[in-house]
Amino acid sequence: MASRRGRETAARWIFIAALLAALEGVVRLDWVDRIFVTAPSLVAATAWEKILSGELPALFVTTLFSVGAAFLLAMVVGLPAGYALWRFPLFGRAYDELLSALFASPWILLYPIFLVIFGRGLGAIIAMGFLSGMIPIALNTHHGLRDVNPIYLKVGTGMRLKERQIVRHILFPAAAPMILSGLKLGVTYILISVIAVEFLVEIGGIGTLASKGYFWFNTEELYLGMAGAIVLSMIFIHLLGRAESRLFTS
Amino acid sequence: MKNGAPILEVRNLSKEYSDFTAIDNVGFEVYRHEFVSIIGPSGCGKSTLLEMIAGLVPKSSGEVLIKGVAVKDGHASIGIIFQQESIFPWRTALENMEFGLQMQGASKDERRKKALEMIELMGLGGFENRYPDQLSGGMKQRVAIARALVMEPEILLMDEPFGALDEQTRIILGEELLRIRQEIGQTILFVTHNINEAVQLSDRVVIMSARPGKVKAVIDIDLERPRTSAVISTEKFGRLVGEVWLQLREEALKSFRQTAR
Repeated sequence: MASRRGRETAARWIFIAALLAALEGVVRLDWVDRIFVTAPSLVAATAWEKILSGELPALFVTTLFSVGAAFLLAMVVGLPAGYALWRFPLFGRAYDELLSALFASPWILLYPIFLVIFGRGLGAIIAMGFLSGMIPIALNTHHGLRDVNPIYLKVGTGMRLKERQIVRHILFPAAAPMILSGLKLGVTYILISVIAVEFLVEIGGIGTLASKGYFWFNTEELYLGMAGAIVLSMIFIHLLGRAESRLFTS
Repeated sequence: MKNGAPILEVRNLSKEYSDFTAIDNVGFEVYRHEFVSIIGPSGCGKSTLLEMIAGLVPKSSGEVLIKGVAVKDGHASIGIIFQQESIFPWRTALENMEFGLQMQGASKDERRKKALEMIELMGLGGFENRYPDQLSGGMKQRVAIARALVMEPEILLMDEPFGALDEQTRIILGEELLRIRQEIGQTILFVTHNINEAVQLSDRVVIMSARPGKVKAVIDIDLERPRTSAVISTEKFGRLVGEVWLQLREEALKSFRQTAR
């Protein structure tokens, strides 16, 4: 198993390294305009410089904080909302489609209104992130609970368990894979939303770095912002994956 | 096999839905250590009957008594096994078996000890830490049986537990069930539509009519115990199967016409 995982990791990084090397070559050979695409080595140099100056860690922590806060809120509201959609089927049928439609709509266009309501700061960023993450969490929780094989619940009833025991020890474990994929979707949407608003209004975070790079024709900073977003996304997905494997081996 | 007072008494049990009667005035008893099968044509309500006894489906009228005491919503001393795969995919075989004890608040050591005894009894050694998706259909059903038996039910209700398995696995698991029953003296009420299975396993076979389900006849299966599946080759086995089918034939035809309509 270890060697298979090792090979997977190797395959992943070899491919990425090859792409970056190709990009480096293309830029150095001046096959593309450096205003559009820059060399990974230059981005890395800019990153190093900004790490040493403390600018990049500060931006990183700001985005991490916004995403983390929005994700926490989205779970605190989304999980019980999903449960309520399942527990009260009329409510569930009435709102499921609406939520799906809302999920597909371009929330981000409402950012000026959020700025007015929450002020031009982290509050607005977290509120927008919360909304875009809460919906997939609620929807997936609802669908996961709804699609639990009824035979598992019958086992619980046959053992005369209390409803609370059935919910905690049968219903939620049975729905866990679906709920977890909702959490992954949620964190992805939150990240996109947080970085997009940071980009648009230039208040702190990785998104602002990309935005400034964009306006000042600083291509390295633009790509550094994107790379930062990718790293953040990898961290969250990795953490959720860890939570998932712990859930299924305990 | 009828020792003393019955463990389970079913009296005048009926189930009516708004547009039809599923179960009509059914009554029978099951005594300690007995293996009783209920057999009937498809759609005669035999699963409904079992679920009413288990308290999973409300009854319209009649009574279910466990050791002489009427029970309303099932009873702690009733265990039930279903036809569908019902073991929890997020728990290993061993953890599945510990489930009921865990819910009752048994300590970790105690439930592990009892589950390991059950692994031994069920011949599941080596599979303790497998997840259900790493087990065959027959193995999964063994785990389901073990999960119920670990609770030490007075009576085990089984709803076509081997119905989803192939014929050979079904016969082997039937033989296993008889061996386990012999070892722990388990009382079993078994629902099936398979005549061979009913005769192979039972002390008595309760034959139900086509819808609305009534008790049509009760046939004593006086094959020797302990029994192995080799009993299938005896002349007496063939005669008993014939006897059950004679009772069942007319009902099966009726049921066939009901569903063909």
